[in-house]
Amino acid sequence: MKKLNIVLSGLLVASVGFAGENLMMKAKNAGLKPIPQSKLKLLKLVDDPANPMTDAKIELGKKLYFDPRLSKSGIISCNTCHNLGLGGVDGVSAAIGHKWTANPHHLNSPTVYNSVLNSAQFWDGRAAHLEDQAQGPMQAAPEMASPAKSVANKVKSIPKYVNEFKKAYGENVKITFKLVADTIGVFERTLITPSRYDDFLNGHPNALTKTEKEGLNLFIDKGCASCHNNIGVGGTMQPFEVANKYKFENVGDFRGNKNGMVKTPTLRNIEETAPYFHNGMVWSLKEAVKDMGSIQLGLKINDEEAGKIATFLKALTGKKPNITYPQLPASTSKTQKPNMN
Amino acid sequence: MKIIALILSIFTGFIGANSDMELFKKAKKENLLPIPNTKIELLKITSNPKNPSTDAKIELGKKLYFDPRVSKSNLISCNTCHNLALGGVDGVSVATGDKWHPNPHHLNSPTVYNAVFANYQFWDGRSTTLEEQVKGPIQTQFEMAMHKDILPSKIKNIIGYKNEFERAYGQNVKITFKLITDTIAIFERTLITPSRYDDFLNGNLKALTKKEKDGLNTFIDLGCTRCHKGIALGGFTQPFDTGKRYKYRNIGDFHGNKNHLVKTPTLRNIKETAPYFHNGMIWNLKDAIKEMGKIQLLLGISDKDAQKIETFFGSLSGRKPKIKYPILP
Repeated sequence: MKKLNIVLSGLLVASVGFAGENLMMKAKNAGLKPIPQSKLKLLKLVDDPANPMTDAKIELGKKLYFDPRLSKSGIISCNTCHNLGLGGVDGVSAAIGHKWTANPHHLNSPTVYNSVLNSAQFWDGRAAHLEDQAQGPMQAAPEMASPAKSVANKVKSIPKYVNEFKKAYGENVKITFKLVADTIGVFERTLITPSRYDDFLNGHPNALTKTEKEGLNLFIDKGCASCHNNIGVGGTMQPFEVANKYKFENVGDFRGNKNGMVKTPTLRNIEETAPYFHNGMVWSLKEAVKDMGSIQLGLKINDEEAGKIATFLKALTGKKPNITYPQLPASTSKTQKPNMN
Repeated sequence: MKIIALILSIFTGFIGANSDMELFKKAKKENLLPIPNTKIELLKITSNPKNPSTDAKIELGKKLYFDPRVSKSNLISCNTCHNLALGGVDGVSVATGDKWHPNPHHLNSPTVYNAVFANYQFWDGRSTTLEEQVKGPIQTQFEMAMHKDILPSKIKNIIGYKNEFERAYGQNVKITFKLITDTIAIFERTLITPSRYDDFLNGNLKALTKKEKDGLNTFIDLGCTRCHKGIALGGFTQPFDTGKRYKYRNIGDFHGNKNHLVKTPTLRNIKETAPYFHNGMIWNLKDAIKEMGKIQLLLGISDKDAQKIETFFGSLSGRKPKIKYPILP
């Protein structure tokens, strides 16, 4: 009896193992790729050769990322809308910024985690990389509302920041708005979150549970991976409302870029980044899965299937980098005063 | 020549040591007290016997402190106005909260660092403990605007939080508004920042530079220590603006509690917590020192003395606890 059990369970393990490996192949064929395990490969993927990462730049970029003084009011930092404690988002429908102004297009803040893996930034993809992206919200009136020049001047008025820029870029560094944004970009490039899903794709068939594997299988079969693919599980520009209208399409006036293309959001950490869609109108992940099926694939995804896909998506919740909350250098009498208006 | 120099330096060193000891004694006599340098002594002062600190409670309190979902809007956390990266303050004149409302009394956010050493909390001293204090801003319309009956259900519905409360307080814990605020206070009780000033008062007479010692001496001689004393270098309620008038007294309608008493702010980390005064109207530390001399001591403090005191204040910038930014459930 015992022997039979062992043989049976051995067979079972083998078959599950096979299923796991088959699914792995299937996922790879569908264009799904893991965050590389090797540090070297990862660095190659996330580093910007035009401004290579160093510890000094990353640490400085982190300080700037958390520093609300970069905003006009002095109370909004990058981290306000892209909160690293909350999946890299603010958890509200429409981003809210300077003077409590809501995004005029009713746009939802995308996550900063893994955004280095996107091929374009912003919902309309207007920035090609993070360095470019970081310049936007700092200046935008409904966000941080700080003119480029005043950001640079504020940083220059704080001697400790100047020293850190020298440490990072050499004695003759010229602190410009662009360099501030670039340095924030360097920090953001480190914000990647490998998950069990990556372990699975990196060759560990047991990293996902049976239900998660079923969900992944459905995710591929339904066609979700035709847009949500590659390492970012999204991040490319795609047509939106391909098959049907989005039920909240009239909330806000956003309709994509001039060709109607919209950036596919990453699905990494999706469990932590509600509400969903560009205007943040859908709060339930299962509902979002069903709506996407209808809008993009012309499919009716039933409750059970949506549940399984949602279960799989939760396996994309990744390990966050350890971040020590920074001590920011003190302002001086030369530092421009905050302005709430 | 070398020998003479050596003798001279030994001689002046001796005199230095002597006067250092005098300054040390003088400071103690004025009731200037250091943050204790032993953990046991420190815990005696900072812990709340009714809700003793544990690692689980501190970690949970930290999460709640940083969690903007504790506010109505989901956008404002305790850390928004009491930013641990910025000396425990927001660096603006008037605290700005829900819907961008400024504090209606034009009040400036006091620092959370070392607040545990203060005998009173809030500018009018209406709370005596951090536990009481925390309840205020969370509910206030122009701060976090959260209803006290809604917060517990919001927290309970986040499974990760529910588990952490059980870990911190046992399986049968009842997550109430009071328990949430008590737990935030437990975290705040850990936010202390020992500085070179404390090292000096703890017996390391070389911890302050000569100029800082000069400044400390002036600080005592001019009478600043009448109010800025104790471990907190403040934290008591005192009469304010009774003799000479504060030049910005008409900005905002705050004039202390019903007896016109105002909480003396701590001077710890003062270089990081501009702007100054209850209504945050003075940005320059030297100006603040002079204005205080005028209002409270009826003294014209010279530029030179104000500079000396400011230099001493630099030694009050403390070592901040290392805080890992929390990943919230």
